[in-house]
Amino acid sequence: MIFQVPTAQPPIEAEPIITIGALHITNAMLLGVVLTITLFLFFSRVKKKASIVPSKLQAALEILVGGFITLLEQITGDRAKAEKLLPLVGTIFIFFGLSNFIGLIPGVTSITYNGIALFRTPTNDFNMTFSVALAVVILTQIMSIRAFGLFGHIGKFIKVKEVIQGFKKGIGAGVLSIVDFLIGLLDIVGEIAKVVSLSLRLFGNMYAGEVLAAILLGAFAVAVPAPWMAMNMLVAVLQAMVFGSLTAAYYTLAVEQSEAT
Amino acid sequence: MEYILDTLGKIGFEWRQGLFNLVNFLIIFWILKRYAFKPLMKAINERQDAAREAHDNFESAKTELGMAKQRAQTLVDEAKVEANKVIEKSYEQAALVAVEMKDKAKKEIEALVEQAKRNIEIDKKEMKEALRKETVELVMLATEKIIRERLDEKKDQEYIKELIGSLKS
Repeated sequence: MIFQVPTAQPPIEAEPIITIGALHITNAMLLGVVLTITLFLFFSRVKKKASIVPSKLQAALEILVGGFITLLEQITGDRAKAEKLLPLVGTIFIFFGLSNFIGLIPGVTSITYNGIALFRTPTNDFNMTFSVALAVVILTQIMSIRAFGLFGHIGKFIKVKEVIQGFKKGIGAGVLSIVDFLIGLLDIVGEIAKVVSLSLRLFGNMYAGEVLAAILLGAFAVAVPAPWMAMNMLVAVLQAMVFGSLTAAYYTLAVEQSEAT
Repeated sequence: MEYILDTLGKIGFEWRQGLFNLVNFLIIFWILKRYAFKPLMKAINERQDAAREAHDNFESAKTELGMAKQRAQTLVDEAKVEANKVIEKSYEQAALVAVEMKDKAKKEIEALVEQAKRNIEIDKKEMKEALRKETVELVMLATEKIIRERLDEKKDQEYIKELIGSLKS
């Protein structure tokens, strides 16, 4: 078949490029670092040039930030909370959005070093999605502790006080408070599950996208992969938005639970 | 726990790499918070404040303009009332002046009439005197004709004087 191109499916694990001590620096980690440096250089210039009369670039970035604020305001229902969440959700959106997009640029993942691709989409590495999901859940917990105190935060999961108050009211209320206590313990599992679900969702989507792109390219190289790549661009933005929106939702839930207690 | 780590390991999970990525993400978070969101939000808020201030200034200027218009209208109304008062007063004064003028004209006319009467009286006296003279002369002529005698000049004058004197008395 003349329109078929032999393409190797990407491995599920990121491949190590260099090893420093016990740490293997993988191609996904390398692209992550490149992105970090690029973002630093770009935004340090943006900060230097930021003024009340915006340039075209600043205006575009302000539209993006305005969009984030509006989205977060819709999720949290409060402007102050939206502004507080903006750095975290904005970072997730920009970093994941760029990470997802960068892999779609032709040639980026084709540069090799010792026969291994030098760069790999950071979100195609489970270590990246897992660590960011972990960071999100930890930051959410910290924000909750900051807002309502350490004991208030722990009290959301271990509801001893509610059990005592329940039994003071009566046997029925006491039994219900025990159920509530067990649900509180399950919420601890829920917090851990958030890390796994967030990380696997993003990793699964991005990795599956890349595998399917490789299969389509191998099956019929002309025209067919183009719409798939276009859809991947949409998925790249969509997944970044889903991750960010879920983070905002988790934060809002954490704050609301604390408010209820 | 080991089972979970083994399962996650099958899709490439390795805790050192995970930690590296976590640190990398936290660095990006710090960079974007410090260099992107903070200055951009500051610029947006400053612009919104400036816009709000400009809007407030516009509103206050609008209110002041409204108040100034109201004040101007009040002044115009007051001026109209004042003008009406002045016009009314001037009408009254004009009426008074007219009455005064009328009285004055009446007095002047009366004075003129009086003067005319006096002049008529004088003329009347003068005419009477002239008539008397003419009458005397006529009487004299008539007398001459009657007595057919011409008296000398001296006698004639005496006679006339006598006659005038008799007529006066």
